[in-house]
Amino acid sequence: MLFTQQHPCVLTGCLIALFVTVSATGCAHRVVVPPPPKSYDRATELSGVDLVIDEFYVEDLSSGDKAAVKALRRSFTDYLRESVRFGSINQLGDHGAYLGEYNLHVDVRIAPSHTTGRTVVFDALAALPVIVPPLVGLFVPVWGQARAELEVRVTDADHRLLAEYHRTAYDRYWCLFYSWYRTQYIEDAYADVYEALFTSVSFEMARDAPRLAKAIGAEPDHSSVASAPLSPAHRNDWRTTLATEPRGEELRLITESASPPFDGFYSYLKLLGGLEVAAFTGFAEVASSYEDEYGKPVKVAAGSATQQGFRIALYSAPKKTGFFWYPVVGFVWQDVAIGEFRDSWDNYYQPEDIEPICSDPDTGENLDCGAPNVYELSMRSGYAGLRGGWELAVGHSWFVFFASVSLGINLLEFRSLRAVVGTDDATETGFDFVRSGAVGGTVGVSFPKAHLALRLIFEGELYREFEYAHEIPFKGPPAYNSDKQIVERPLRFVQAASLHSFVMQTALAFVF
Amino acid sequence: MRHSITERAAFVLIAMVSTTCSDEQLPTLPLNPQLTVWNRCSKSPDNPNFYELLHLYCHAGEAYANLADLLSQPLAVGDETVIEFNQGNFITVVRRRNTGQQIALTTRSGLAVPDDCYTLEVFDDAFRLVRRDNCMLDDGSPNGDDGSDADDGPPPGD
Repeated sequence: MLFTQQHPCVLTGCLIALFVTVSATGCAHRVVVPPPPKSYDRATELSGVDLVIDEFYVEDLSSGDKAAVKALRRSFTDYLRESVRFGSINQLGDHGAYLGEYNLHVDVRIAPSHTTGRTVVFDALAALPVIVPPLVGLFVPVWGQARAELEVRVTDADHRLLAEYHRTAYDRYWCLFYSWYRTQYIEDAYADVYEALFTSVSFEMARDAPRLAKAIGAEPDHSSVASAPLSPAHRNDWRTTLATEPRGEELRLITESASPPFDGFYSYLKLLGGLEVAAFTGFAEVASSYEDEYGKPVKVAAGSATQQGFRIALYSAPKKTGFFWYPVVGFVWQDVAIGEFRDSWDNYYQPEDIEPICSDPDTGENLDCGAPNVYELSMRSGYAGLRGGWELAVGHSWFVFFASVSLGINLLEFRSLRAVVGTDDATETGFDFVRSGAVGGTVGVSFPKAHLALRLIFEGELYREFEYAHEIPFKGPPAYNSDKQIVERPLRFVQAASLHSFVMQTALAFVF
Repeated sequence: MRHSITERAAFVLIAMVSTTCSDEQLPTLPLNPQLTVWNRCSKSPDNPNFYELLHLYCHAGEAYANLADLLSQPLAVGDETVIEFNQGNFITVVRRRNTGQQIALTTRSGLAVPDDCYTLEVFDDAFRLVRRDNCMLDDGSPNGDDGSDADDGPPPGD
C-alpha cells in the first residue's frame, strides 16, 4: 500500500509493462507463408504421377493462425511443384473426399514453436517513463528462436509407406526497439524456417523421385535434379539452419557448447557474457611486515575487518565441462584500522627500572603507555587480469548445474593506499604489475532458456605490498638488548601493507 | 635552581634528624646534584633519531606544564646531557610517538640522586637510574665500589 501511494507512476508503469509484455509475446503468428520458391530449370519430371495432399496439419494453432493454414499448404504445394513436375498436385475436396485417382498420397504435419529471451532489467526500465508514452518500451532487447518440425509421409494408393521425411529448422531473431509492440521480427523468422523446410523436403522428394516412380509403377521423364539442390551453394542461400535434434533430453555431462554460431547483434552482446549482481560478505586482514636480518618477514601490525557490499560484474554461466579462462576487470576497496601488537611490560621490567607515567604533553591527559598505535588505512585497487580454471557442467538444455575451481592473477593494477597515522595523512597512488591474485570456487545452477544463473562464490584474494606514501614506524616484537640489558621493542619502519580477503558471494546473473 | 619552601623545609628536617637522632654519620643527599640524562631509546637504521628527546623537564610535582625546557635542542638517540637535579623531583621527557604525535614519559616517583655520578637512562618505555663506574667526584673520592668496568655509563661521545 505504501509503495502504491508513493510511487503510483512506477506501479502503473510496471503494470503496463507486464500487460504489454504478456500480450505482445503471444501475438506473433506461427503460421506464416514463406516467400515463393526459387525457380529451378532442372526439376524432376514425373508427369505421369498425380499427387494428392491428404492431410496438412499444423499443431497448436491459435485462432489467428487457422486462416493462414490454407495459404501455407498452397505454399508447400508450390515448393513441391518447383522441384518435381508432377502430373498434378491436388487437394482433397469438401469433407475430405477424393476428387480423382491419385498415385501418391502425402500427409504433412508441422509443429511450430518459438522461444523468447528478454532481460528483466530492460523491461523494467522501459516501463518507467510513463509520463512520456512514446518512450515506454523504447529500448527492450528481445531475442529468440523460431523453430518448426516438418514431417512428410508419402504413401501409394493403397496407403503403403513409400518415404518419410522429417526435418527441423530454426532461425534466430532479435529486436531492440519497441519489441513489445512488434511481432514481425518473429514472423519473419518463421517465414525463413518454412522456406528452409519446404525447400529441403521438396528437394529430397525430387532426389527420391525415381525410386518413388518405380514403386508405383511409373517412370520418371527426367531425373537430373538428383542432389543438386542440396549442394552447399544452395544451403548458403538459406538464412535458416536445418537441424536434427533428439526429441527427448536426459541429464548428461555437457561437453560441447550449445551456443549458437556468431550471428547478429545478439552475438555481439554475448561477448560480454552477462550481467551479474552479487551480494557478498567476507573477512579481510591487513598486515604490515618487515624483513629481519635473515630475510624472514616479521609481522609488526595487523588489523581485520568484515566486508559487506554489492558487486556488479560481467559474467557468463558455464556452457560445457572443461577448462576455461576469461579476462576480468574489477575493483576492490577496503577501509581498515590496523594496530601494533600489544604487550604487557610487567614481565619485561627489571627491578632497577623505573616505570613511566605517560601523558599527552599538549593536554596533560594521561595516556596508556602500552596502548598500541593505530593506523587507518584506505586501500583501493582497480585491476585487470585473467581467471582460469576447470568447470563441470551437468544438465540439459533448460537446467545446468555447474561447479568450478579457478585461479587468477591481476596483471595490471591501479592502486591507492591512504594511510592516516595520527596527524599524518598521506596517499600513495600508482600502477603496479602482478601484485595480486585470487583462488576460489563456485557452485551454481543456470537456466539457459531463461538466461539466468544463480551461484555461490567462495574466493580468497591476496594483494601484496600496498605501498605507503612514506615509511611508517612500527614497534617490532620484544627482544632483549644485551648492550642495554633491557627488553625493548625496537623501532621498525615499514614500507607496505598486504591485504588478504576471504569472501562469499551470492550472485544472480542475467546471461546474454 | 630554586626550591619551594616545602622542599627546603623537608631537607632541613632530614638533616636535623640525621644529626640529632643518630649515633652514626648517615650520608646526606646533596640538594642539587648533577644528573646526567642519557637517551638510550631504540634507533632504527632507517631513521636513527626518530626517538630523540624533544623536551626535558625536572619538576617537583607530577605536573610539568609551563615549565622551562631543560633542552636547548633535541637530544639525539645515544647523546646525553647534564642537568642540575633537585632531590625528590620527577623527570619528564617528551619524544615522538610512532603515530607522529608526541608523548611525555614521567618517572613514576620522585628521584633521589645520591651524588653527581648518577645517570638517568631513558629507554623507549622505562627509566633506569645507574651510577657510573668511572666517575670521580669533585672532592676526589672514587666512584664505584667494585671497580668493575661494567657498561653502566654512557660511552664518551656516544
